[in-house]
Amino acid sequence: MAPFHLPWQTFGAFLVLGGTIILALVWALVDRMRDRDRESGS
Amino acid sequence: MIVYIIVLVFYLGLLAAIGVVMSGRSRSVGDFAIGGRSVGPWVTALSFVAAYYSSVVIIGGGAFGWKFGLATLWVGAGNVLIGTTLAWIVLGRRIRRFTENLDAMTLPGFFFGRYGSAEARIFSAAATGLFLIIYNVSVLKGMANTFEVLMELPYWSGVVISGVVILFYTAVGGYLAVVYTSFVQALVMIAALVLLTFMSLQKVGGMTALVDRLNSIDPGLVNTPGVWGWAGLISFTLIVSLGTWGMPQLLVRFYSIRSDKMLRLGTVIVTIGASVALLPYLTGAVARVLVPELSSADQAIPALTKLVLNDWGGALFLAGVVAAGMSTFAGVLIIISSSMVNDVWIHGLGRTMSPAAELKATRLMSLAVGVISLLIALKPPALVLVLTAFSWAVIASTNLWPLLFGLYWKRTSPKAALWSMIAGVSVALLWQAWPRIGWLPELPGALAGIHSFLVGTAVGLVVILIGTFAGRAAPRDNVDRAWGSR
Repeated sequence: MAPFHLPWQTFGAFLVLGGTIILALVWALVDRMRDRDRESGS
Repeated sequence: MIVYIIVLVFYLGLLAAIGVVMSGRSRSVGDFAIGGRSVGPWVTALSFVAAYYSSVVIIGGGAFGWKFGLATLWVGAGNVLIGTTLAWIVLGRRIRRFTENLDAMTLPGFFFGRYGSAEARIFSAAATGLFLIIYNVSVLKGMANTFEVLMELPYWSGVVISGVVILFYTAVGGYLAVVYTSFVQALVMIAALVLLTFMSLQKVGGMTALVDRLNSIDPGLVNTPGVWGWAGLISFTLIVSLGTWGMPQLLVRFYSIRSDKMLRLGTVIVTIGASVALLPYLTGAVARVLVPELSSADQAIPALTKLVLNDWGGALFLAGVVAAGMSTFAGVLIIISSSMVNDVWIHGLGRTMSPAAELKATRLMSLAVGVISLLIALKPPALVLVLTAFSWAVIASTNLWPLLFGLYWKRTSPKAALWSMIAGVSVALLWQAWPRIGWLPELPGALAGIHSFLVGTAVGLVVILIGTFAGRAAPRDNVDRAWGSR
């Protein structure tokens, strides 16, 4: 049983939400590094 | 009642004031249609959230939560992951760069620049324009219904109050007024949803108590897919999430951001802001426990609001729902007016206009389209009501593949893009009309349950793939200009 007595299949929606926020942060960092590499290379 | 009036007058006055302030910054069609590509990441991101979630989503999301329980949280999660974050990552940067390289201010303008196809431009502008007007009618209707329930005002006055204020700030201030008012509207909408969720969870005894009480009513209200079933849950999530990838009033936010580097911060802000998508579904489920006897599921959120919020909270919530609708409506008005004048009148019909005349014509067009939507919304004909249910599907079916392929695959041919649009719209319309056409054979149950958006986009995808392999690629000049290689 997941937190709040929820089945994992339903609680998964909150996990996806958390994962999406992490994805946005990681993408922003990777994109920034990629831009810096490009700028220092040119 | 007096509290509602005070909050609304202050709020609507603030929006009108933003329109007046921004009118000085709309000196050209580029300013009026896309804010001169000068908008920062906070305003771009939160205005995207406000334009995405209309009043229909808040009231309708609550209705789904009330009917189908906590499995509907997945719809909200899909809105954030597919409809928001992935849309920003996959489409944002390329749309920003390509539209600048091609000097395009509208989605049909992008199609013309990228594919060199005047037909694709006209078809996209006409189909999108027509169905966006119909979509706007549903948004106005949603706002007016909220006024009706929460303030006990007649339906027509809700249409007139919200319609007139939107028309004023949109026609006067253009896109900048729309994004800055949308920014304020997003903050009001987020505050309203958070307040309602917090108060209603407190009333029901917390999240665990909510789950236990829903379980005692029906375990299907707690499980996934629960009472809704996989087919309903997955197809609805895809429609309201993937659909955003073809909606011009959302895509325009990418054209107008100051630089493509700002999309990074924008993506983080928009993801966090869009997370409120789960709240209408959650509060709808709370309403199932606290107000189980309703004549219609659409009353779940208004009834819950009356139960758990005092007058000030209720007024804030009304402002939040109206905010959600207004930002969507205003965003759509800008898109239709700039597209009708620039894509259809000037480029489609070959009329010449000075920049000043084009700006004036675009302002007038936004007023005309707004008034038409308002008049239709006062007493929507039965056909319009039927069409509103899938106008979103038709618009997304028109634009989704030609946009995505145009951004990522140089080989995509102009004819394939055009025929994908035509096939997507036609099949979506035919699929929706199928049960009403007497001489067509009845579809088997499993097929009949598939939404017209999924059928339209599936056919559109097949057509664009076949057409690209069989047809001639877009002119080299257009492709090079789009990719910025010349």
